[in-house]
Amino acid sequence: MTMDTGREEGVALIVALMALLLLTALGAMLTVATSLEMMIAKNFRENAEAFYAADASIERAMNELATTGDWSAVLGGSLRSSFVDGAPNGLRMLPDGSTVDLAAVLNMANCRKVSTCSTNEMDAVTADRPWAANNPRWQLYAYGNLRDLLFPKTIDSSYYVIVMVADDSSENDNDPLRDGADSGNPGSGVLAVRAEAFGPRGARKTIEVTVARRLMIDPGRTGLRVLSWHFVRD
Amino acid sequence: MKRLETSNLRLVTSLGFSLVELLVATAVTLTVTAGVLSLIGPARAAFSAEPEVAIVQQRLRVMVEVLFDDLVMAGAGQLNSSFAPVLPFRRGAVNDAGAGVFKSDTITLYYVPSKPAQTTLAADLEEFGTVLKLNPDSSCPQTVSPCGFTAGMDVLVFDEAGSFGRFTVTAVRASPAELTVTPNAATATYRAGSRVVQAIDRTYFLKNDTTSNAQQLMSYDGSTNADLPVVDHVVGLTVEYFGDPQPPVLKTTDEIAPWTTYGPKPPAVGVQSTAYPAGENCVFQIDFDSGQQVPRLPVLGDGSNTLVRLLAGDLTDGPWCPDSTAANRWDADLLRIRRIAVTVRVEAAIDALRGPAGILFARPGTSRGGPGWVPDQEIRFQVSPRNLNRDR
Repeated sequence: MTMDTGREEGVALIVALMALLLLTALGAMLTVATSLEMMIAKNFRENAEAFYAADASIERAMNELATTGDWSAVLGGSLRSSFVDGAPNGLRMLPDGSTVDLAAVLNMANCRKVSTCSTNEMDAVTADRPWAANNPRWQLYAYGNLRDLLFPKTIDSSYYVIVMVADDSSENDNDPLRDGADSGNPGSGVLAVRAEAFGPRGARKTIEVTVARRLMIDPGRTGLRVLSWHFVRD
Repeated sequence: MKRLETSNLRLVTSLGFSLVELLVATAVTLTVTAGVLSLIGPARAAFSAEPEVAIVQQRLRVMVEVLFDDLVMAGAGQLNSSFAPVLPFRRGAVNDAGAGVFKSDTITLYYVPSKPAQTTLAADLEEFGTVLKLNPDSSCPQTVSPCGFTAGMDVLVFDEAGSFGRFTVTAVRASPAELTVTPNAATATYRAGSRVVQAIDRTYFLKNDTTSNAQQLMSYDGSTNADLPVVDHVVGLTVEYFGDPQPPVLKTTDEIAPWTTYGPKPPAVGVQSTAYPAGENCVFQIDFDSGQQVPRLPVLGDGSNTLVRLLAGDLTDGPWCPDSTAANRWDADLLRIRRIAVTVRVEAAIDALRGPAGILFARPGTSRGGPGWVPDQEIRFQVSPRNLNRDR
């Protein structure tokens, strides 16, 4: 009797362990599948939020630029938006602990490297910047947390946005820090605006827009007209 | 005695079960087993269905992202100042739908990339001509001569009358600056000064091939290249258009006049550039009483500025651009488009996870029971192409 009882306990243990193993495997599979799905869905959501963050910041910048008289001051970097969160350099911390380096973002736009760009590097003819001396020289115009774009608690977002401006590449005056003044210049009254949005886990979206003063083409009205609007895929 | 009693007791316990006990035990066992088995069946069905649900949702995400990214950029490069960059039919070298067609499951988009090769024609391009003589100017990209154009590039040629054609560059020559091209769409004559610009051309359409049992979202690039599948098991694609109810306005009073709020500007009064009378084009006509150029397109809806839905009839009844005799003509109301709504429907790939055709399933499957079903999933999203909504 004692021996039989012992054998029965062994079987029960093995059966229990096998059942446990099976359930654990099923549970693990479900957990992996679910967490993978959640990550995919979250990435999709982050992608959409990054787009709308960049789009919102560029609309805000265009709204201010429409009422700014001197675009050469903007292109020279001496005039910025009211939407700034401090000096135009240094690191900005995102809620997930990652950082955004304003100078590095600016340099990447100007010469595709994080350190300071030389004049020669900015004037170099490349596939992205094929206009030589008329290549855009981006200046920081607006930067800050997206949630600070409107009244507190209006925007629930952890994104950080940066808007840069530059002279339009259709200008032919070889002076990218000044908006062409003469009427024969096709880029007169035309500005390039670039918005970058940074979010959690490396989420990022960049939009470039070329805008023209509507005053130039419609004296009866003020405002801007979008000449082109693009995603930048880099 | 005590030992005997003990022995008797042990004897009783090893006597076994009575018939009643056995029946009760069997009944209990069967009931519990049936209960467990009844749970295992649906659990197994759900376990096999859930991954397919995830795949269906992933297909929807891919479709939304692909379509959204192209729709939002449609018209980039100020294309809608000259022609309609959104067409509700297929246009290209292969299976061109022709003029006057509306297909709710097809959309063609044109846009110019952010750093395009571009310039103007230095000489007329005659019908069936294959050499574009270019006019290099200072705003040309300076990377590759001439003006950044390279062999294999897709380009659009369009003029101020509303005529546009798509070509593929087969060879480039720096001096004199010219491109050899393969005409891919309906040919037309383009005058010197017409714009030549690198462009992206996308046609998305629903393929429903019962022979090969293929239901796919397809993409076509306007050339002789084959159609490419984007997403499998797509059983529904519907595109709706919403447009500006107001006709275009011709601005004649400022320094760069004339220009229009949208659409091609008309030729000067007394000048004929298309089959329309002198001074007129597809969106402007001469007012009989005043002699002024006035909109040809009517006000739609109640006259407010709220976008109105553009139906198939609105987009296939003319007026035609550049004119009604042109092989590459298109309806002028297409210039009104400001918002596009897309409805897509995706099904489970496995027949055993789909039930009978009806509300839940566009195409029937082989499943007879509900727990193993993965119903079709549908999503509707709207896009305002930023390059078709230009004023701020």
